[in-house]
Amino acid sequence: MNVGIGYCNEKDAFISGKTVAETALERGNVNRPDIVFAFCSGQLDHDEFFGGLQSVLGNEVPITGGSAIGIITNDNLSYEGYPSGAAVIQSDTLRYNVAAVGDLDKDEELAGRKLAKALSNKGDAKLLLVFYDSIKTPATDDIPPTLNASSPLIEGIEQELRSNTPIIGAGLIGDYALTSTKQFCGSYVDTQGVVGVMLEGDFKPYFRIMHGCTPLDGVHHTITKMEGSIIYELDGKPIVEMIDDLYGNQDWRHQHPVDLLTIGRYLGERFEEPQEAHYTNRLITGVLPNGEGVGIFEPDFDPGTEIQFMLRDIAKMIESAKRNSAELMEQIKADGAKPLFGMYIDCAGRAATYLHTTIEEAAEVQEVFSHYNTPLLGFYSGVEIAPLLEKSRGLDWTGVLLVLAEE
Amino acid sequence: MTEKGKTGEKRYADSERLLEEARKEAKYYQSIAEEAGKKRLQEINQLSRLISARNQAEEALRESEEKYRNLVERANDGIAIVQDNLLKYLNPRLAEIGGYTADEAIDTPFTDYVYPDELPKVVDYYNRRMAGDETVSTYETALRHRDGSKIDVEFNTGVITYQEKPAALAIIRDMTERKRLEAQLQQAQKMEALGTLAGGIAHNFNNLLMGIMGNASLMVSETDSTHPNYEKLKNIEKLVDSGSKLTQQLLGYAREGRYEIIPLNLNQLMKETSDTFRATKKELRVHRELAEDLFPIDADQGQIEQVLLNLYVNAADAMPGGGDLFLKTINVTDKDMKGRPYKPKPGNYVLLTVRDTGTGMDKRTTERVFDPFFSTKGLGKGTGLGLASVYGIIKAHGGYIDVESKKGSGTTFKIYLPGAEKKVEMVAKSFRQIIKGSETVLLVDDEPMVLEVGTNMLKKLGYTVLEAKGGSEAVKVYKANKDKIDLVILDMIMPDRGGGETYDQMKEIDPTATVLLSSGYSIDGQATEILERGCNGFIQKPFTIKELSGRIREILEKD
Repeated sequence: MNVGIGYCNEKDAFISGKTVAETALERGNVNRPDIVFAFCSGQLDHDEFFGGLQSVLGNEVPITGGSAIGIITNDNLSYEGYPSGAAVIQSDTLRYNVAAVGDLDKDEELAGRKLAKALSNKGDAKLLLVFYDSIKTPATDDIPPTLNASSPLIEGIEQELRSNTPIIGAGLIGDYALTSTKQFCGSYVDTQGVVGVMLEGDFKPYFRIMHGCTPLDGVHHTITKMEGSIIYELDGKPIVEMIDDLYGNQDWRHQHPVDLLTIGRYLGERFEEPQEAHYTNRLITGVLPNGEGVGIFEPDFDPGTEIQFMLRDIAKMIESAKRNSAELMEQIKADGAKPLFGMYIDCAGRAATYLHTTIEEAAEVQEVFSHYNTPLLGFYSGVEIAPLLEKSRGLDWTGVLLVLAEE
Repeated sequence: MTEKGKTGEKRYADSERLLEEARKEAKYYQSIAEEAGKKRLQEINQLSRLISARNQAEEALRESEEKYRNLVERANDGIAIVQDNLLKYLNPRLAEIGGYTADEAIDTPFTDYVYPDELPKVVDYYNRRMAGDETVSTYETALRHRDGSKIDVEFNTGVITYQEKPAALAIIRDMTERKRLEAQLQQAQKMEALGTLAGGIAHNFNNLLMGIMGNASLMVSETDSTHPNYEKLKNIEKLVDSGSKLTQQLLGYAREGRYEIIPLNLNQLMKETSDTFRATKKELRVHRELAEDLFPIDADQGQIEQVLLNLYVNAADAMPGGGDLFLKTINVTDKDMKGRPYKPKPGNYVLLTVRDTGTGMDKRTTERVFDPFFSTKGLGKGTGLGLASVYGIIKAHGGYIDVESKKGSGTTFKIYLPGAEKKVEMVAKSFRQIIKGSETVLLVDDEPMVLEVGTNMLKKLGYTVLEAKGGSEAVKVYKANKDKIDLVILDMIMPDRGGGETYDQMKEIDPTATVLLSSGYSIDGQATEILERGCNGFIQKPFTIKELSGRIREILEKD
């Protein structure tokens, strides 16, 4: 398998696409590309970028991916300006099937079922990569965005899949303002779409989930009033007032999304020693203009769900990225396999600017991949999808590192 | 209640109490956890804001540094920092001015880069400035280029703190271009002033010559060729003619000498003039290399002949023992005229090169070669007007002239004349004999001597003459006699009312008025304007009776 990575930070979207493709072909020594993963900043004209890619790669090579807040490669990491990146793969042993469906904003579950049906599923697939539009309706200055939910999408996919193929992927976002996004659906560009790539062949997928949130106080609260992705009450009390009390003021209400505080659901045993990997966290997208509730990134909680307030932990994020990426590569090596290509799906909230720090946790991943001389393409996402506790789930605040290795 | 029942009840009560205590304890620990969590969130939030503010400040600082770095590194002036006599910083522009790289110049004595002649001044100012004494902050000096040449610069200096120590900051402006432009301007102003002076002298002198020429001409026409004074009178005419040629040169220099601008073939003129010249200078070998498809030029034939002959004569004087004269013409465009002290107008040009293998000139002589009355030929041998008139004529034709010379290596003149759009037409005019007439002519001139001699000449030619001593009088006379007057000979420059205004008023009186303009100046802007308004012709003073008769007949017979 030959994998080439291209990166560019250029305002002209067509030139950006062209440059990224040319660089990837050259660096990967690829002369007959089979499949391409490409992502670009929401500030770039995606159709032009796609055209730039196709001007080099031709119209036959499927291009999958879409909007991203930023790009991570072995040598570059940027979410400022107009970053874009692509991985161009050429392989005689990797088999793939690409499908895409639209109308995600109408019914996520139905879209999931359609996608799975469209993907040829003989039951021996090793991995399903999924990239979908996170934004159902974009945010305004006052109102948090409405989001496409990953849970029903994954449920819909799993209903039609004949096997327990692990699903890894991302809910795409193109900027921190959470405006509309686009998806690269093989041969065209779409919005409100979901694109899937089913991978089969002589390779093995390895992955790790990097966490970075810790319980604020360990206290469980029960959602007592919730509609869609809006939580109104916890333990019978208005959630907004509870958060006011936690912060000691109402300044947090101006944050869209909220900086530090997040909501976590513990999936392990209730009274066991809390384990980081057993949490799914949900970003608080912001407070409603009337101050009656808060939005969360995924509408997958219900009244009665027990949650905890979680706190982003910068040190934990960095430590987790460093440890997990190193351990994953060591595991591959220990298995006698060879890492061929890494994809790092990193929550946009983990970027240093957003964390108010100067250290990029993704730099830890870059360092490990440089050490192993393995091509890396990463991007900043809204939602990360990966198997957790033996079930593929939509995650938040995490970094999902996937490595395709040759057995 | 049985004992067993009582025991059970007690156990239940104990359990309830214990459970309540456990609940209280859990609540207590929960509140502790909640308080701790709250405190943690608030501390982290505060810390996060501080970090954010610091990041923003750092970003602002980075942007500010970037902005100033850009300003300094992209500045059009050189910038240097000198500390302890060593060059601590120089921007790319300064490196470019001096021809050095920043790496090799850093930490070397700044005095290495000052032109040796300027060192005492620059070092003195530097020492005084660093000692805190009053001293000039802006002054002109010179740097030493890497190749040793001198670069004129302007220093603007001040004291700054650099790496926590006092240092001199110098803004250094390359003055080479400004100096060149100043010199060019000075030269242009000098030439302009001399031109005005020369034009004025020529005008007055032409009026004097007109009186002499007119009288001599009349006397010749009335004297038999066998008369002993006849030859003397002819000599007077010849001498006046020589004087007139001198004033022509003066007018040429003053750029007043444009007569009739027509499309000309410069090659043809060069062949004719150089053939004539070669016949008189047998010791010279003339080599011609003339482009076959040479652009025509819009020029006055007489003026260009004057240019060519002056250049040939100049070359011959530089080769007293014989030598080679190379004449060459080629087509060029303004793009081929790079690196000149002037900026040529866009378009096609004819380049005429006149090169000799003579004695050549030193730099000082070369710089003054176009100055009027500047001559190296010795008293009585040259007027000092030849090359000055060449310069004026070429300028008047919208052209450019360069001279390159080196003592002992000959001289090359390069003349660029704008290419013409029109094709060349052959025009020849000459008045071979006196032609008489009988019409009525109004002669207008403020110079009594010219008026008198002109009247006599006209009468001699058979015309009825009316006189007017100025413009105002001319208008009156014309108004009263407009039906009788066939032609007005009108002087251009008159104190009370100029030729232009007089002409316009006569035209108002009678739109068919026929007017011959006359002037001690040649056709200049003013005369050309009058001619363009419909004036019938122009005659330059001094003129002979033959020229006058021909010009009059040319106009009247055309009508």
